[in-house]
Amino acid sequence: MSSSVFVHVVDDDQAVRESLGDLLRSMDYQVMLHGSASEFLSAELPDAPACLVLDVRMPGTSGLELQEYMTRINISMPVILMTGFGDIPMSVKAMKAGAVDFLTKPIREQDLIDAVATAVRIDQGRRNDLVHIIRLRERYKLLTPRERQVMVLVATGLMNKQVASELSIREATVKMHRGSVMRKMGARSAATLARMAEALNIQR
Amino acid sequence: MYGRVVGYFPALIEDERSLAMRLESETHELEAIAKAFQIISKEMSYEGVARALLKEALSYSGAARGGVLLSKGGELLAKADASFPRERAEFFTSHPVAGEFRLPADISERVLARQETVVRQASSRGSALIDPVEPPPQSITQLCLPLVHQERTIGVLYLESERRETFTSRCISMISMLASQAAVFFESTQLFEALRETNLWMVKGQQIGRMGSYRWNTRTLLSRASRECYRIFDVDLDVNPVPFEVFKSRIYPDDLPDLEQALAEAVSAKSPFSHEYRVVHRNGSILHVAAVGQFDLGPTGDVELEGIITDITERKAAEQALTDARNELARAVRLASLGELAGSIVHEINQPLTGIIMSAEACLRWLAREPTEPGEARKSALRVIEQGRRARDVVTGLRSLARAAQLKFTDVQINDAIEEILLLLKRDIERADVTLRTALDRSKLIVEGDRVQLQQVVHNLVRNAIDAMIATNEGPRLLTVSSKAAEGHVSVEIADTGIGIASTNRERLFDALYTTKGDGLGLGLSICRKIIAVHGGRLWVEENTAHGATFTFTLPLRPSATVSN
Repeated sequence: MSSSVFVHVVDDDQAVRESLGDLLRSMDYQVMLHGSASEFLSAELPDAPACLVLDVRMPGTSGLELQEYMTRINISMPVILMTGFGDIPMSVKAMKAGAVDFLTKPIREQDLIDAVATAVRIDQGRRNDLVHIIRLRERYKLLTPRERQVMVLVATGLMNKQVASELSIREATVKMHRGSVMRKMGARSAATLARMAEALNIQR
Repeated sequence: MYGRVVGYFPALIEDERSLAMRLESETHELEAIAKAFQIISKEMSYEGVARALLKEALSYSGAARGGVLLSKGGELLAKADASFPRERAEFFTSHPVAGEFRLPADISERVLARQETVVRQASSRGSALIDPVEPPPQSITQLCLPLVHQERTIGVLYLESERRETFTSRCISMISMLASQAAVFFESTQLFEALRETNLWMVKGQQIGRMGSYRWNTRTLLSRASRECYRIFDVDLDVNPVPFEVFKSRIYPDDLPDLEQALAEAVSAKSPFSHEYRVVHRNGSILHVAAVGQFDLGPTGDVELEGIITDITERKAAEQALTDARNELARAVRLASLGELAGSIVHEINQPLTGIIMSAEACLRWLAREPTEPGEARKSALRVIEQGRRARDVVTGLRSLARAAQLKFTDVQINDAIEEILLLLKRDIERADVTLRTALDRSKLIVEGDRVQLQQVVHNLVRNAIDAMIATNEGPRLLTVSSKAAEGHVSVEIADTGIGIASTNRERLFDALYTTKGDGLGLGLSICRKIIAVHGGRLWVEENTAHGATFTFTLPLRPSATVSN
């Protein structure tokens, strides 16, 4: 397992926090411990795959409140919530708000392993997607206005002839632009190009 | 008495024959009078004597009509018993039955005021009997004589006849005797009735008060007791005096040794006796009684215990009901907070438990690594121990919480209770560099409550105040504890100059599990509020005008419990 994966623990109970950190370290995670929601929010987060293990019951800002706040300010780190009592309404609320898992204390080791692994995978996936999109955007920027028009239309599945009539240009010109788009975007087929357009959220 | 009667006869010189006749007739008359006395004397009531007197006077004199009026003056009655019912102070009986008795003014004056015997002729309109069922004849002869006792006129005997010769001087003197004798009887029946009435009141009073009086002879061990005592001890009224064995047989067996000891101690010390015990009736029902008494010398010269026994069964039942209700309330409060408490307990136990399990698992993992990491494993193991200790502390804390769950209501001097807590927290106050200012009401404010629980509330509030001030570095740290009484309540204020409370948090403060403290249980204020509620008071918080917070609770004062110094 990669040692550059971070698990953040937010729990007001120092002993629990440290024990949890200890266990996670023994599982080869990088661990950052925070005593409160605000401590976590003001911490400098490393640019690496990460997840957050969060205690629900804390003085001041509760775990649920922190989770809501993170959603609002677009911190999309996967959250695992911990609670002392299996409060069903609370867990439903947490899951609805996008928590990866809801663990009841005392936490079963396997549950923790599974939950953290899932959360990390989600974050890695998210980060990969993010990297991918950033790359696509950079490439997309290289396209000329005409090439962008052609890309959108090709991505929707139009034949060269249809694209030509749509743009009132010659089919040969379309062919040329299309080749250029495929090369710049690094797409090998129209289908790949269509997926890229979708990821870039560009429409005609 | 007969000698007196004879003395009234005029001394006449008569011949032997007429003397013999006269003697025979006098004997006859004396017999008649004696019989009349007997009849009258058998009457037990005021009215009975009056009726008998009238009947005998009519029959002796041969008069057809008459009446007896007993004065309203009430002097005789007053002598017997001042509180004797008034309506009986005037009594009138007549033959034939008449609506009213009204003496003509001149007769009234002579008879009532001057105590003279009056005989006179009158027309039917002059009759003292008003609206009789049978009208009087045209012309009547009236005899009216006062009923005198100890020089006071207590009434009037009135006779009337249509025949002029009815009231001979002899007849008049005989009837006078009858009347004066009757007056004596009036007094005695009067006294008798008053006595009976008084006794009835006492019996009734004892019944209402469920209280009986007794005298117990410490030598003969026999008791004399009032009727209510007989009821309380379920003893038949014909058992008189009551032997000690009968008395003992009614004592609840478990209570007998204590009672005998208390009696023995009181007898030997001649000290006032006071003891509560239970009595068992023959049908198995149980009464609670309170006996008090003191020793004195009885009529026989024996030492006697004289006193009162009160049936306090109902009071005991009421007391028990009150205690039950309070315990029930306490239980209800306990149950109500149990859910909240359970959540807290789960949390408090769960935290270290979670730590223990995770640290132990980490420890195993460090040891299972290749190569092993004994340093990390050791740290994990130490965490296990540390968390185990913490769990133990929580359990110890819970035990004391469970112990405090039963409320014991007593009279609590609230100021004393507060001062004790302040003394207890003196070091904490000093250590936190807090200045304490007290303004306690100088009167003795007594509330009915559980002292320990009330002190717990004060302790909690003062502790919170100190913590709130430790959390700030601004301004002076001033703790003000004050109490004052108003409108049957005492209000206690604990004010601090600490961090204060955000208004949005003000009511949540009293919810269980809500805490602003890192190490708090979140139970303190919710329990405080419940304790105060159980005592019939209120607990609330308000922001200080400058900074800090003021917690106030009120408690109802025990009625008439404010005693000024």
